[in-house]
Amino acid sequence: MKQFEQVLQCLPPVIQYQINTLDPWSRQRLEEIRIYKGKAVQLYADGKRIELTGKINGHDMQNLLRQMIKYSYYAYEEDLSKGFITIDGGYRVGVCGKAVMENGKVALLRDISSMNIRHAKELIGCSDKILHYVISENDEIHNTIIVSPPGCGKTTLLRDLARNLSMKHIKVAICDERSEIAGMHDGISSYQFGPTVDVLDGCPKAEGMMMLIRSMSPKVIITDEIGRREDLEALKTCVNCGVHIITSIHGYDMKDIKRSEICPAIENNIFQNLIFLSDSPQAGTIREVINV
Amino acid sequence: MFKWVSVILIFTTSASFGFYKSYEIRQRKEILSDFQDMMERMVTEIAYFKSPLPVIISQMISSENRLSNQLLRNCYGQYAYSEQRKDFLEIWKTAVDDTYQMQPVKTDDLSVFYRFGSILGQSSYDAQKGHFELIEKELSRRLDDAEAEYKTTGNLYRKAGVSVGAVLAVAFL
Repeated sequence: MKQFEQVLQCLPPVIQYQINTLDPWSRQRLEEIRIYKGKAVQLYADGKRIELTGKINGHDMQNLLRQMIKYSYYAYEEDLSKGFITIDGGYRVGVCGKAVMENGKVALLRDISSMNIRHAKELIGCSDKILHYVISENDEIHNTIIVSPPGCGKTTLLRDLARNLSMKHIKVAICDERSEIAGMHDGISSYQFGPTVDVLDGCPKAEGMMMLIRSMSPKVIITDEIGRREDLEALKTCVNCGVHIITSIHGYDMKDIKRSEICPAIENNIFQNLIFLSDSPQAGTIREVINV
Repeated sequence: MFKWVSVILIFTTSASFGFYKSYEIRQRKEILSDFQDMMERMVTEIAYFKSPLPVIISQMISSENRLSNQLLRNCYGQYAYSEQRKDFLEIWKTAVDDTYQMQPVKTDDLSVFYRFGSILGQSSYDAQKGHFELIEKELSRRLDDAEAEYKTTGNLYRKAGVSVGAVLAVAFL
């Protein structure tokens, strides 16, 4: 939370003041701060929209971005070309603007038009109700995939699962491609994990999973938002090596999963649990659990 | 007795002034070389670790009594401890002013120091690389200039200080 205060400090004072004087309920449940050039700032707290007064101009926008990337464009250029940056504390900031192409790929975003600061949360105990699906009484771990559209609490759930498993002294390795799960800052996680969590930060998932297997001998690998073809290969290798997988994917239902690149993993029953999340009535609601 | 003391005093003052001026010129050379060294280290750190600037600066701060170290410490202090977030350009400029204003550097030297800060972190590493090379060349040129100045003007100041002192002392006698 302290680091989120530092993020808020980057905003223009008038916006900071309005956020700081929000009612405690909304302040506590702040999920997103959406900033649009030339328009009012929109907040989302527990699914509800709150519009602030005062507009953000181009200078504010540029200043905000520069402060969030600590005046170090080179350190974030790769992330920015993908449309997001992850700042200290694991807060992901989505960025929109004019894409500049180079060799058929997005090289950078300029003329930033909007940003979305997502408030990463640590909800200790939020995975308790699904823990019995993930780990049996005799400490046998079941490969699990969490499925939901964005903003339903996949990463928060994965984070708490990592903590829960680590508290049971199970060797957990987190492959945190977007620095969201562990929120590493200067080699230390921003969240409370147990004693046995290894974090490979900022590394592409497929490559990272292989590195973790070779180097850290984990019992479980936790990673976020799989969905590419190379992720599937890495998943297969993990399972063949006897390492368990807990991961997440964007989607709403089984149809979405079957349309994704990781469909063969589902068909081959690599995952014993498919947990579907929903944001209704609130983010993190478990809509369905399919036990294969 | 008074006469002899005065003669020694005149000679010493004049010679010291000459040596002091020469020392100032040597100091400029050392300051430029120190800055160049710090710049090279920073560019290497950026190229290798790609860490954000505050992290790189904080890691480069050492206990050595060097002006570049003072510059980095000043910079980091302003970034990390100021209540209102300042722009890095402003931070760098203030830090350069605070560190080098009382030092025997030329205005053109200062403008090179400012320019280095104005490039830092403003673009991708590849884009910055070209700028760094230009500044590196400019610094090397200024360093050669300081070296030549030390050899000629520095020498001249020392000799002039001693000679003028000697002439004045003789004249006084």
